[in-house]
Amino acid sequence: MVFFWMVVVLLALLAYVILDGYDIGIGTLTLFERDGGTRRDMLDVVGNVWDGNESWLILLAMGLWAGFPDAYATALPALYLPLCLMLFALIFRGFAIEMALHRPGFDRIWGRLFGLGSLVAAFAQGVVFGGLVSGITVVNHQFAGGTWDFLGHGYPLLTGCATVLLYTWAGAAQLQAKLAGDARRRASRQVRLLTGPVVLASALSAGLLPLASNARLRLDGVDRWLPFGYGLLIAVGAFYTAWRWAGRSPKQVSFFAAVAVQIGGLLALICLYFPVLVPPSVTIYSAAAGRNTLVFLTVMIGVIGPGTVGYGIYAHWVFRSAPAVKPVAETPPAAPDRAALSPTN
Amino acid sequence: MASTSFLDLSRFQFATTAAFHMTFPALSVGLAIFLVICYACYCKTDNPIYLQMFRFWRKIFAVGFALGIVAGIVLTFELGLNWGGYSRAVGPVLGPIICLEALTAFFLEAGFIGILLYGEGRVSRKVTLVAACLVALGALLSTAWILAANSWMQTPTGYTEINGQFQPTSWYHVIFNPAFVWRFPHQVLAVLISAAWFIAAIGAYYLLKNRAAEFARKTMSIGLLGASLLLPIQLYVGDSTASYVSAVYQPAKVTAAEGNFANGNTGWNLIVIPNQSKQKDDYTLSIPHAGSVFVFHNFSGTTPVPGLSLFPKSMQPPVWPTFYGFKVMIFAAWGMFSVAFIGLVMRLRRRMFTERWFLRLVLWTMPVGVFATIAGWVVSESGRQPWLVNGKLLVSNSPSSLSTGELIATLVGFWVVYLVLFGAWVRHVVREVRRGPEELPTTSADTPPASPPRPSTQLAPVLVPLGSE
Ligand code: HDD
Ligand code: HEM
Ligand code: HEM
Repeated sequence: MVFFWMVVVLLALLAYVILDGYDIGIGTLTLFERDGGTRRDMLDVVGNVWDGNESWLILLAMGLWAGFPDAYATALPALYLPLCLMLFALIFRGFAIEMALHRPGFDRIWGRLFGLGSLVAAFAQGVVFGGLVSGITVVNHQFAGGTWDFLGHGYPLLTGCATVLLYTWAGAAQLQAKLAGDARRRASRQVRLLTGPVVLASALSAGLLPLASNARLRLDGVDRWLPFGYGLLIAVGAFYTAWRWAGRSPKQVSFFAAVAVQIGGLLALICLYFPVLVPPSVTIYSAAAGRNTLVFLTVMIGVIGPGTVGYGIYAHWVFRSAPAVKPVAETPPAAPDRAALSPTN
Repeated sequence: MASTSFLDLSRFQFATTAAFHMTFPALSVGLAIFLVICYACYCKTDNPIYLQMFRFWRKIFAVGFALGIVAGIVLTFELGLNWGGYSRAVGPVLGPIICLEALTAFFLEAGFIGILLYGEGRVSRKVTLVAACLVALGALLSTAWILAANSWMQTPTGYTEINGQFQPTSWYHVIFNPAFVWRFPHQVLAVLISAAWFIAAIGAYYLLKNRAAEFARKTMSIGLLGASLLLPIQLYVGDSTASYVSAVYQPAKVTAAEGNFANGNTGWNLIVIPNQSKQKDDYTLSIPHAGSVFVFHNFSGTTPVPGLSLFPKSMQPPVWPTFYGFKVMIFAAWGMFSVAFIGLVMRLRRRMFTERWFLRLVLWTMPVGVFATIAGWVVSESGRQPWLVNGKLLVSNSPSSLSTGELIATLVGFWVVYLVLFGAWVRHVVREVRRGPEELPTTSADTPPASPPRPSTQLAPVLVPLGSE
């Protein structure tokens, strides 16, 4: 049961990284988009999905708290500053996008803030990731290190940049599936352009991990190295696919390839760390809540989970041809060129 | 044990971020229900005025809702960030409850809010109505779960303690703990009243400005009617919460809320200047005998109200926030009740919409419901001190080991961010209100006048996306 709940938490993590990853990435891309009309279309792509995507972050956090209280209680204080930075960025981002969509005339300022918030959120999440995998000092079920311990020798800064690149790349891949015309061509070019740096940053992060981490990374036994190898293969293959299919049809291929990269990477990481949850010492077994809690969680996710996923898909389906209709009574000043930019499917 | 100043900082940070979050659900839960009412009326009567109301309030709702979401995420993280000891101890009991909140409420809201906000023209009216209902349902479920979690901290039941952790033994008792049963209805009424008052005040504004007359009259009527129906119930439920929950399980809380140190005062304190270190009130102003009547329902007014000296000094809640939080809540309740009652009488005499002093009164008391709600929370949470889980886990045993510098930096950060956003939100509301509801469509109720140039497919079959494919 402990194992089952770990899978649920990891799935929530994966869902979060895939979904909010692309919308944070699109946010970052708006910083580099000069054309007002296109920027507005990009905001629309994110507008009606961001809160749903962020719900996965809550499920991830609460799933971790409920199932593995020791992990929640040690990892969060250890990563205090980057997590607070992430929260600040997410606050700004969530508010700014609603303002940009509902306040015509101000969408420039709020749009910029949205982009900036996205960039910082991605970076902070990367730092959190890097700090976590490098290891955390835990004494007697509590974090016992210092404020800046999470920085180590700077490895988290690298993973921070890598995450920004990865999200941005996934965002571009999503945009080229959602937009049309010139905007789409530009997004495809961005996918091509970014693939190199993303591969480089991921490879560096992976290569330096054994040096940065104070946990024992294990690849002994076929049940570890085989899936690890698959994970790497998937990631490499998917990188190539995303690059190759950028700008071609079917246009969703690049985005799904980006998703495959994330799945492959996570799989490889799990093989290295399992069953450690908060490196080096807290494992899923030592951190797990009691049996009653896990049974309750399992039944709950079994009963409610499918429905949740079901209407999530329904909501995405209603809006599959983004950009959405503008909220009524708000014709943005940049209206004239919109017709040319609307999606064609 | 953590040092006091460190603890105070952490508490202050939690208190202010929680109060900030609370401001938005206090309005948006009620607004979500109000949107359902407007849209249902529109579907039923086809009267475009209801569509106008729906669209107007939806814009105000959307941005506040977004702020509520992001501020709520902060709170869930703060439980682990600042209160590591607490997270570890209560995770097995409260974690699943907040998980349920995420699964049943947050995903439901997030899934359908897009359809509610942007779906017009893409989906049929029926689907819009269903989406509105589901968003409102999600908001109510969210309130239920969070109240279950917090009430368990006030009156914990259904658990055992193993290795310094609470492990659930009966989920039924964990969720339906004694405090939840009264506090949940009290909270739902509170958010409904807060929103109703807010809505009525905006209606009053338009009446004062002589704008959008029909819209304004309908808005104000629904708001004031709601408030005047709910307030009497709230007075009863609030009194029961005090008598059947707080007085039984947390006697120190009620005692602090009454503001006496010594025993023997039969009066009801209006103003006290408590001096907790000397264990006495430096100043009190009270209504003789009223305390006995309010607290014990003893109409001869002779039963003295107990004082905090019954409890050891280290087990007393802070009097300042508990006492004044309580007073704000009570006066707000009575104040709103009186105004709503006057409104009712004037409405029956057909003068409510024209008496300018009355309209002004309603306008200027716009945020009273929200103040009362936050004040109520200050009572519950301060009155629980020094416990975090009543009688079981001390606040001083619960914080994470952080540095004071970290706490100050993030506290300042939260304040700056929240003040900026709050200012922007207020500006947004003021501007939307100034701009007013859009003009009533003259020809077809379904073609919004200023919407983007797209064909109206409102009457098309469900889910045919606009002009595509
Ligand atoms: C519009 C808002 C509002 C109004 C008019 C009232 N309350 Fe209230 N009260 C709340 C909003 C609220 C609240 C914010 O919703 C609280 C905080 C936590 C909770 O469950 O409800 C609360 C808590 C709360 C508590 C503490 C419960 C606990 O945590 O142990 C008591 C004793 C009362 N109330 C009593 C009253 C009385 C006697 C009222 C009327 C005379 C009253 N309230 C009106
Ligand atoms: C009485 C107190 C509370 C009530 C009534 C309440 C209610 C709500 C409601 C109705 C929402 C939906 C957004 C909105 O309407 O603005 C919301 C959002 C949220 N709340 Fe609270 N909340 C309370 C306290 C808390 C606390 C203490 C936490 C943290 C443990 C919390 C966590 C959250 C989170 C994470 C969200 C975002 C959910 C989303 O993505 O939709 N809330 N809350
Ligand atoms: C949304 C409305 C809420 C408000 C305005 C609020 C307010 C406060 C205040 C004023 C304090 C500080 C008490 C003191 O030190 O005197 C506090 C502390 C705290 N509250 Fe709340 N609270 C709210 C809801 C909740 C909920 C729903 C939970 C749990 C699920 C919660 C958990 C805590 C914790 C863990 C602390 C820190 C420990 C302590 O000082 O007791 N709060 N809150």
